[in-house]
Amino acid sequence: MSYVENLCRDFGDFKLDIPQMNLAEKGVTVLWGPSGSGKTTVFRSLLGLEKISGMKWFVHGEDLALLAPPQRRLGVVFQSLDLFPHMTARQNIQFAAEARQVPVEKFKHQLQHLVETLDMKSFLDRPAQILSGGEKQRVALARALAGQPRFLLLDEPFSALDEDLRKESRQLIKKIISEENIPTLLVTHDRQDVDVLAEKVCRIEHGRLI
Amino acid sequence: MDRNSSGRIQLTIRRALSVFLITFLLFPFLFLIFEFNQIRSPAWGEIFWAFKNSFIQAFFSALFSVSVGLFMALGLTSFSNREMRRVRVLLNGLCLAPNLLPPLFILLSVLNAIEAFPMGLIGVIFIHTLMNAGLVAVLMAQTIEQKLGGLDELSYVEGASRRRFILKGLLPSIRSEILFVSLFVFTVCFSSFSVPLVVGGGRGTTLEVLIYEKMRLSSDWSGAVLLALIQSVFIFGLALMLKKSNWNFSQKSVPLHLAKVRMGILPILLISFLFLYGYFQGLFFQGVGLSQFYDLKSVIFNSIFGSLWISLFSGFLVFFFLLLIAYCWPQRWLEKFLNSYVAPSTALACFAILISSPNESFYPFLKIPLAFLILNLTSLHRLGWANQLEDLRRQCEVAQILGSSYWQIFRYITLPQVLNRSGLLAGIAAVWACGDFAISRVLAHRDVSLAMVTDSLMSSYRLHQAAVLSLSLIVISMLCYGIILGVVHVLRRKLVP
Repeated sequence: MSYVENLCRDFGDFKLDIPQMNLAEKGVTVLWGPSGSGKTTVFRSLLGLEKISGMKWFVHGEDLALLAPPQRRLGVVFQSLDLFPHMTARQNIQFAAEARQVPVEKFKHQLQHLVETLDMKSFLDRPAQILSGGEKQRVALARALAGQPRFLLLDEPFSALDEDLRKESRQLIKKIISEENIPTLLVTHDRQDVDVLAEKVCRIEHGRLI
Repeated sequence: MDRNSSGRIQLTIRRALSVFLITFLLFPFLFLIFEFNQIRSPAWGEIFWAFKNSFIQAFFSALFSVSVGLFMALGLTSFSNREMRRVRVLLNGLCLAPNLLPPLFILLSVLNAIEAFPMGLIGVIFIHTLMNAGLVAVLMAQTIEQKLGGLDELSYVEGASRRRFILKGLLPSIRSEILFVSLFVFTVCFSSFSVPLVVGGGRGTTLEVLIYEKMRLSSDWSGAVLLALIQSVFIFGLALMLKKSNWNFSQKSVPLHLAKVRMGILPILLISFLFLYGYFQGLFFQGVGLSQFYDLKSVIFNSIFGSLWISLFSGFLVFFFLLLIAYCWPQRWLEKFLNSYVAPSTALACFAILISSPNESFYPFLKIPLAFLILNLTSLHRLGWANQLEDLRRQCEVAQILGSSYWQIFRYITLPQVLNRSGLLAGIAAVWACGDFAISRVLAHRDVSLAMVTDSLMSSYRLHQAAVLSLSLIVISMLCYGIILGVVHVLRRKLVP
């Protein structure tokens, strides 16, 4: 079990008060709550983008909170997906692998697997800025996985998609997470995400887990 | 070397570069603090008189700019629908041109167009109004469209008259934005140097001009330091007030029904006509022949190279420093500094650079671009660099989380996406530097650039010759702009994956 301790900070107009939060070692932990409940603050704190003094995040006995964001070895998909628009889909994925210094041969093999699983062959060499919403989401997911992260964090990854595409994407993510066997934290306000993906659910309201 | 130690080295380099950048921009202020102990018995009467002149001209410049600008804004909003988009772009361009062109061209045009130009405070206020009303118009039009779209539609449906909506709905709703723009124009005009220098005359001496006169004419360094201190403290106070103001562009704009007055484009067209008429009248109607430049031929010839050098060196310095900011970005403390930094007054920056090392030989050619950089870097940063970097924030965060080093983020994410913008801003800087005569006037003992020669001709009332000579400034500006864009294009081909 990986767990977070002392996730507490007073932002003035908002107070985050989570003494402890457990995250599933396998599958998806869903952090579920309404808008303004503090989901994104928790998400950014785990990534190391918000500084919370005294916070600890233990994964296999190692405190990730002591490490700078690049050293935490995390994969991330933000709500806005944030592909690098001047690169192709392939270059986006390759960028993450190179950043983590994944050996070339290993990356080739991994890319092939990701392309097949996420069905990306038809748009792999297309510039990221002209991809459709669904295609962008698959590239963002592949990019997050290419660096072989120890933990995957997803912030409302389906919010920009229409209902049909959402259903399809949930299944795709479920499949790839179980294949890659990477523990994942999914932040969402959508009950459907909880029903389809959650191995464990943490409900958050007004900055507290309930 | 393992990844952790390489990361630490890159972090240290990044921090060191940020400290260098901040120290460089603060140099004039640090110099002021260092020199402050040399001040002796100030002439308070003179200081009060110059401060009063600065205040009066800035106050009325802001008042008239905002009044005329608001009317012009209602003219601009008449062209907010899709079919009129091209006209709107053209009108926006006409409005912004006086603010983006070097002041030399504005001064030349107005002095040529108006025979008996009223030198002194009235002249300064008049030219400041012509220069800033367009900028106010564009900013206020944007505010009206983005903030009042819903209110306008509602009032229109409920049958409110245009006059009633503008007086009771529009103006009260944008009161804080009007105050912000007024304060902004006031600050710009208070620290304006080139306009009061040329048209201020003996009775319109402002703080900036007095600092210049104390340095250049009477070598009263301690008096200049005190004046610079007073001016810097006052501008800093104004900037703090500006920072507290609320400026919100978050809402989507919708077509307007009531918040528009077609007559508002009349002042836009009149001001544009005044500039064009003045400039072309100076060029063509007075029959200035080449023979009239005979006595100036060697000065002009040397000044061409001076202008080329100053323009290109300033442009490339700006280019380099913008990329330096991009490399050091994002860092919260650096961002806070760049957003709240108030550039020193022209006189103070030049003063600090002037007495920090020799001023003969080639030194002015190094000092002018450096002073230009200190005075304009943050303006250019705010003009289009900060937003560009802000757009990349999330991408940089993603890249950082994915494990990229600072260098990788800069090389593969930031640089490819900001090169074009940095080239554009550096090109604008080159155009501004080419047209600068105020900085050069402080830092060089003789006319070293075409802009200075043009200013000298203007000062001796040889306006038509000045207008003809300014044509060469346009050619050199465009040449330097083209060279910078060309270099950036080549860099882009080589560096972008």
